[in-house]
Amino acid sequence: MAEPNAVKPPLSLGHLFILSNLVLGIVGFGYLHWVEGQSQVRIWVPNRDLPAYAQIKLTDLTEKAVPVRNIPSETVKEADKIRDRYTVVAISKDKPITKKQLGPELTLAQKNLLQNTVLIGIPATSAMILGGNLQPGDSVDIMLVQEASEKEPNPKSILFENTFVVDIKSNLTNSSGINQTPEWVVVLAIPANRQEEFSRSISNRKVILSHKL
Amino acid sequence: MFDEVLKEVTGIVSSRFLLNAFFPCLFFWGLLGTVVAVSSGWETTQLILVWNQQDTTLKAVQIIGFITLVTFSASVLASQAFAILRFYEGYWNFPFSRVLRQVGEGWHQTKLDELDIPNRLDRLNQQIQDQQQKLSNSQKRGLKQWLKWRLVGLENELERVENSQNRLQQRNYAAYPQPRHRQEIMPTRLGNILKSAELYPYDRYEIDAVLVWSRLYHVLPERCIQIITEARSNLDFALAIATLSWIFSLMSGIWLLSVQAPGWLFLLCFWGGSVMGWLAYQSAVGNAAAYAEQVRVSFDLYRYELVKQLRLKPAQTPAEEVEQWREIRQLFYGGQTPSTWRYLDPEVKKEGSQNG
Repeated sequence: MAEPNAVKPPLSLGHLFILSNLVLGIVGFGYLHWVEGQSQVRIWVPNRDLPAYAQIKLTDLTEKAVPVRNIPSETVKEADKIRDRYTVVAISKDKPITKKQLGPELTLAQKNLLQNTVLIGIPATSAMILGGNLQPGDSVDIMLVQEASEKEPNPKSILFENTFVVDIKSNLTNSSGINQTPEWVVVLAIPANRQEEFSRSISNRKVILSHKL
Repeated sequence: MFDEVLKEVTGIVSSRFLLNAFFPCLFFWGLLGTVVAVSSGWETTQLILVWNQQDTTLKAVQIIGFITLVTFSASVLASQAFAILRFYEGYWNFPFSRVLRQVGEGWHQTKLDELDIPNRLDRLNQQIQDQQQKLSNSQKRGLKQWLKWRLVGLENELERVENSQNRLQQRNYAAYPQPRHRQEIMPTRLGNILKSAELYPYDRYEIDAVLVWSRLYHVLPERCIQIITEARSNLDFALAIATLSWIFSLMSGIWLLSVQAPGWLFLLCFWGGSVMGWLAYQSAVGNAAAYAEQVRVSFDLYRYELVKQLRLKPAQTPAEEVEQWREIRQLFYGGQTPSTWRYLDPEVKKEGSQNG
């Protein structure tokens, strides 16, 4: 019979496997942790949860270091490009703000237009939004038109001039074909002092959006 | 519904292929794809949206492509089942494999030495005698006391080994070749279990298992073949899972490092795959023990059937049997037919003449 080994090996292959796995795991994790620290950039993020259609002020923002891989494409990083714009969806605290979550950059005239307004959403067809060419930030005239009748052969139309288009959203419920609601919802900024008039008039009138060339 | 589909599919493809290769590969590629998608920043809802927006033809092409990939990899896995088994047994031929083999063999040789009861008892008895001799010759009081303690320790160990003889023998039987085959030790547990079964017929009857097994298999009853096939299938399944888990661990680890994914995701995939592979290997070790036992049983119970099939008369004594198998071995390996053999008449098997 062969002589037993004088020296007992300290580890089996199983032990070596477990040990090498632990070491490789820790080294890999350490490398990724280090890379994350190296690749951080400073961006502006909300310091509180922002609701949809809220105008962002500088006091709503804070600067934060975020790993590059956590920054989505089309992130708006600078405070100057975020402030005074309004949100079109709710944005969570400390999350990067992307271009799609914000309305357009506003000119001074547009900012003035938004003063003392309330937001209303109206259902719209593809034709009403000019085949998809009407964009948030555009100005439209809203005409509320009543059909002629025996009682009122020449009904008076109501006009809301130079109304700011805040947002245009596709109506997802229609894509399933379950109901026959229009495909789009147009969010408009109506002067606050004409809110009641608008609400009263829209129930029995047809809405026409017109865009000046 | 799924049962019906499975029944239909298993009519075309063997159920063994589906369970041992196709489904593990399907799970493997699915999981790997998920890791790639998650690490690339895709969200589930976003993925579903993109998928729904695609053209039906494109969807069909993608599904066919995925199934082709899974089927191809499953075919490769199934065709390499024997090579995979050999790998886990410890038949290695890759760079630095010699070093690994030495480490593994050294470890298991030490374990085997612990199971070599006669040798251990001899050594302990010898050490006890030496201690007693030293004790009787010693004059110093302190040294005498120390030698007494040492002697008590050795006597206790001797008692422990004697009491655990049965347990150690069982372990040796199931997990290792006999201590006299120390040089045949393999670097892995699975390798030693199968080596033990391979050497078992030689130890008992001097049957060369590798040579005789393929012939013996043809005379085994259907029930026995079914049990062996099932045991082997379980072993192959566990090894396929272990292999795919370790490949997943490696591939996902490298991918996640290259895309600089979050550390927690890397650890989850790398360690998760390794742990899964380790558990599957442990399961394979248990399955290998069951398979090895069935191989031993086949030799114990059906070797006479093979002798009869060779139209030889079964031996009457253990010594005759050993001689008979030695002659059969010479016939198969060297083509030397013993001149003393007389074949049995297949019609009157019971009254044939004695061989050798």
